[in-house]
Amino acid sequence: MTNTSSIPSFFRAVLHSYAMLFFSQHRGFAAVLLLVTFSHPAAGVAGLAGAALAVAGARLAGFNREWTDAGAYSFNSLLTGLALASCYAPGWALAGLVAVGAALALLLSVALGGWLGGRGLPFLSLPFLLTTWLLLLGSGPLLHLAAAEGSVYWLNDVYAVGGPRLVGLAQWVADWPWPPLLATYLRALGAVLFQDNALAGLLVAGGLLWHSRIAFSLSGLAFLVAYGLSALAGPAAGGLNEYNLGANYLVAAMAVGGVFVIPSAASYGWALGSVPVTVLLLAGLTALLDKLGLPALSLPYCVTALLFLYVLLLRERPGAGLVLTPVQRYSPERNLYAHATDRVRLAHQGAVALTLPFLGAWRCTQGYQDGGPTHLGDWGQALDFAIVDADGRSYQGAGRSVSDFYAYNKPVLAPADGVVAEVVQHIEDNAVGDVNLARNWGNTVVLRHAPGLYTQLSHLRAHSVPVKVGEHVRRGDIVGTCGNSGRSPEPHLHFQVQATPYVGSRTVAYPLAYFVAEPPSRPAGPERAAGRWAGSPEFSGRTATHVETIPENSGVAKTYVEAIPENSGMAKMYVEAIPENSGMAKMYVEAIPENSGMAKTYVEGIPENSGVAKMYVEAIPENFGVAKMYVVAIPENSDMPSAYIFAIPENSGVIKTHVAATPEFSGMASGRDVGAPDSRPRPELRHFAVPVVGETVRPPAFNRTLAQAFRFPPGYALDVRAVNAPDAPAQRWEVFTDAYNLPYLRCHATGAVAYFGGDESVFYFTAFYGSEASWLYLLYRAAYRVPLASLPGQLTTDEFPLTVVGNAALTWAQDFLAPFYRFVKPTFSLAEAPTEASDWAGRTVRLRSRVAVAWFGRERETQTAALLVQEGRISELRVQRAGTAVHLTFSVAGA
Amino acid sequence: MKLPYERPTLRKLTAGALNKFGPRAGARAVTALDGVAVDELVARFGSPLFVLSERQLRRSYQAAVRAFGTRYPQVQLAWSYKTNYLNAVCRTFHQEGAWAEVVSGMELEKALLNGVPGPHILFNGPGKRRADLERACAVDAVIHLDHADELHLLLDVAAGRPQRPRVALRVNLDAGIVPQWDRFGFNLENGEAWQALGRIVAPGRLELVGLHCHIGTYILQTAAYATAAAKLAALALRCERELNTSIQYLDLGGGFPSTNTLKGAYLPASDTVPSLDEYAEAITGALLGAGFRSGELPVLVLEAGRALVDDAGSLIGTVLANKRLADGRRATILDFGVNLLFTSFWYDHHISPTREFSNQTEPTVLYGPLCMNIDMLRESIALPLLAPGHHVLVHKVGAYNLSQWQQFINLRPNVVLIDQTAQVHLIRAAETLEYLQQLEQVPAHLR
Repeated sequence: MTNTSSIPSFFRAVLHSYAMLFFSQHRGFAAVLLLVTFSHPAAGVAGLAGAALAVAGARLAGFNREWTDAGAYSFNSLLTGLALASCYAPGWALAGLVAVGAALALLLSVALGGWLGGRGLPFLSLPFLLTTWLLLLGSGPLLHLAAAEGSVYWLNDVYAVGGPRLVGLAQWVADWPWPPLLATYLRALGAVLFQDNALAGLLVAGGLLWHSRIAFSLSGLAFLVAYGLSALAGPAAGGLNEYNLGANYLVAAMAVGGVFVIPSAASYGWALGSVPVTVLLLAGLTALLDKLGLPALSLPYCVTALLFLYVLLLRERPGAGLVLTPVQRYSPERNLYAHATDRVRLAHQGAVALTLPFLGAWRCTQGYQDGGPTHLGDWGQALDFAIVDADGRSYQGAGRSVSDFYAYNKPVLAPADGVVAEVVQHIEDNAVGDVNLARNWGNTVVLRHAPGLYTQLSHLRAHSVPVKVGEHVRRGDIVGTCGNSGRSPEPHLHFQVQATPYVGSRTVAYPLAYFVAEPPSRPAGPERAAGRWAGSPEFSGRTATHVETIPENSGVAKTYVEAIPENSGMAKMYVEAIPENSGMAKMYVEAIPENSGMAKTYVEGIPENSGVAKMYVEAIPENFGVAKMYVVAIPENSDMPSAYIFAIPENSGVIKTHVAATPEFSGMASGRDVGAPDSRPRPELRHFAVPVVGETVRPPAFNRTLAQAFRFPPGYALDVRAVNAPDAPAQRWEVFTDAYNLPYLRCHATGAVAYFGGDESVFYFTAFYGSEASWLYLLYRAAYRVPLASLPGQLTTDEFPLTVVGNAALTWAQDFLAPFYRFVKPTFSLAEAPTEASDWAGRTVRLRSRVAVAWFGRERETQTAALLVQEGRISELRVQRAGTAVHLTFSVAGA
Repeated sequence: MKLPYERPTLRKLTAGALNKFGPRAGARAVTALDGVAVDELVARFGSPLFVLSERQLRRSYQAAVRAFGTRYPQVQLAWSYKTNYLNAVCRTFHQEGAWAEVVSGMELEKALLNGVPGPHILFNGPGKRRADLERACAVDAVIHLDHADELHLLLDVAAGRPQRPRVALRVNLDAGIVPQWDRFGFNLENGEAWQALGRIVAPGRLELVGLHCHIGTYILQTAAYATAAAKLAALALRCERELNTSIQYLDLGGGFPSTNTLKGAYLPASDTVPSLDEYAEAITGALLGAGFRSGELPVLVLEAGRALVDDAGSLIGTVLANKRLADGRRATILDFGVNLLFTSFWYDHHISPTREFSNQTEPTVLYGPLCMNIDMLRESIALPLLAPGHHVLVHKVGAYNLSQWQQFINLRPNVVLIDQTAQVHLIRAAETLEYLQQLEQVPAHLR
């Protein structure tokens, strides 16, 4: 840091001290607060001096620079200055007292910060309280200070500051026929700065609204609750004065409901719940402290906030409702929006990445809890894979011998680095169609990847395992070959994740880090037989009922009812009825009660002449771990292979929302005039997802050009130039890692910082801090998520935090509702532009990305970008944004 | 019902050699191809007629990808153009994801016209001219160097170019196959290949991206491929170690047999030819065990031709006449001969009747329509008692016949493709006299 930039950074820190009173870093808000303090000039000077002294002291003493710059060490000194100046008349004695108070508050801030910070708690205004009490008790015997009179005749102060004009304004504001409720609210807000007039309150309220809509709404709600409580209880001891309202109820509610907890409906409830507690504390503490001759000041707020935060911290199972802010961004909105997107996008950061345990394309033949024959109950979260050809067969020839099966003897790979925990390989392979129920897992390898994270690969070929127990394996190492041992009527691979190292442990739902999935293709065969739903299931108590009736001349081809009662552990309802001439191809209902652990609803109905080849609905309730909703409708003669909706609730750990309607597949640019249109579904790259039954999955083929360009090792630096200003000095972006080993790009010119992450299959930005006018912000938005695998025509989508929305009116409207409902969706999409053979290392790849903001069905594009990647680096970036175009070129620094 | 008339035959009773397979049943009739009746095809498109099955083309391709792709992380097939460069066939494979392997300037242009991006074209062949090399450089195709003179020529061509041409070195090596194919590429064992690699890398004017080796055609020993793969991998590792050049792909060529039986073979090919899976097992096993670091395995490129297309082609013909030879053998004259079925020089093609006959068969010599003594399709085949006008179907003729067929004595016939929904598409119309003569010029004094 050079000398020239240290002066503004000093003033920034002083200014931040003011914003920090409301947990903000908003400099505009800070300026408003600074202005308001000067409505009592002596107090304004004292506060400013306190803050400046504290910042200077913190910088000189070398305390944590980040905290110093944020004003976190100085806002208590500021408060001390303000409070002292409101108690005592100006003079040298007061100046000395302020200096001593500021220093003491700084020392206490640092000390309490160290002590409470280690426990994950903020020190709030405790340093101010202790300092003020000490000075009030101690300065009396030492100094003879006159009590301040300004607060009584506050218009004198106003006159001194602004002359008759300001007095007029202040009187006009004060005399305005405010509803008494609103007047009290405004005065309460002003009282935080030891001001007792509506104008100050109005300014503070405006500033607070400017800074944060969520904090503003919390303050209003808390005020109403406090007011309501006092109306119920009558004037309590301690009274409902403005200072107590502002500095205790309102600030406590903001801290508990919006700042230290991610804003949500629950946090609002939590914050409003804190108000009665504050009332109680205020009464009790006032009574207690009165005996010592001390004012309670903001002690009730500090105690309430710490109590409410500390108990959250001590929860053994933190829920999804009340989340403690993981990274403080000093704005309830930023905290909320970053959390809402990060919870989805970064849910798996740091998790052990498991990949497909095989090479090439395999079909998932049994998925998680799909009601299949074997993945039931505790063993439900398992996957079966087999190799299937385009005709849907898993074998060639007659399929009578295991070696006819495509899957047989194919290599099985370690899904991640680990240690071999268990090997069973002596069980002979079954003949096709036989199962070995005695040794149902067959030949099995169990790998240990992390404490409590094991994977099991089963039904391997006898004596095919080349590794021994205790051996270390790397991802992709061959640990056996696919066989037909155990409960396996035909060769397939069973893959499950478990928490314990034993063969056949209960399964754990755990997604795969990345794979390419091709949805089930539409059935190629002739239309199926007709059908219509008839009859309802009948539960008959304890035993299973199985009815199958086919009246000879009824025209109903088949009726099938199976009902097993709920408490039997294997509840199931299954109805299938196909009236012969009904025109309905098939109707199929399967329902398994929710509490059975295997809930499922399944409806399939295909009217014969509807033009819809298939309709498929599957819904699994949310509390089920991997809940799912799945709708497929494929119009028969469309070029669209599938319309596909897939939703997994956010808290399931596997999050995805995807809608795709794919036009006909175009493999080769000019190869369309040959044969029938190729209607294969388009493969897509998935991250941290679980294959579903019927999908064909394969490991992705990585694009070497992209992988090289987006691998940013620490120390790597790019020089960035604008094409229209080639002579201007380049901006240098360099890669650093922070104390938590998280890498980020830092722009030396603007100080902007963009954190990023990813794995072999994807690069993504995780957070951006700094000026939104910087070039780095353009790249952050243009390359928000880049898949590193080549999948021509695939659209990659992602969601931005709401902070990227530019439209102020829209943003403010959303901010008010955000804790409860988010209707604005800033989205990111990226596609690879067709270039010649980008899969060769060193070839050119063109990426096009788009940022759009969607609300209530409307969508507006806010940025489009084209990214050129060649010679192993990002080469060019062209951005179109709000009518302006930016064209940047990149070169590797030092290369 | 009145039974169809079959001509009477006289046969010498011979017990034949004893075998365990029992008496041979009569040739089974094949009445339809991919759901389309043979008679209908002949009625619409005439006889002779080549029929290609898009379904089989795709299935063969998918089977090859499956065989290699489930054993090795990165596999790329390059369609060998010379095997069958009808555009419809090429485009079917390209749609499935195949690159193009070409061996002449003409094939290179054909691949480009079929929409294959230049970098996805592998340019093989011993006879590349300067113009071919310049064109290949211009479209960024990968040039597989065959001999030192070509290397020098390419260095010359590369001198004036902004982008370094990408090359692969064709290597011939001793994989245990006799005779060893040593006419293509640089020999490995005598150090010629290593010397050439040094000459490619040192001037810095060429970008070495691959190594190529094609050990032969119709190779029945899978172990030979394993040997070749291991030797090629060792060479690639040496390049990385000593020349500091990482090899992006290893091209093991093609040469995988189809299930056509070679002339003189004792057993039918379907019993003797290893499956593609066995070749895949051998090749991928050798590469995985070669010592590449994980994640740095080179792409495995295969130039399968015959194995992908042979099964998908059929030839429908018609009996023109029957006659008896001097030694008493029955001879049948068909409307196609070696002019259309070039591969009958080395295969005993499987030929079926296209309608049901009784079980009676007769050993027959099959002749084509050419007025040439060599025009014999099968020396002896047991066929039912065919009469003029009956059709026959020759199986597995997709490879080489449609690129090596001759316009000799007769014009070339229609070629149709049956797509996956049983629609028939004409993909090459029968030649006409006008087509034949359009390039001819008669000097004025002969008019």
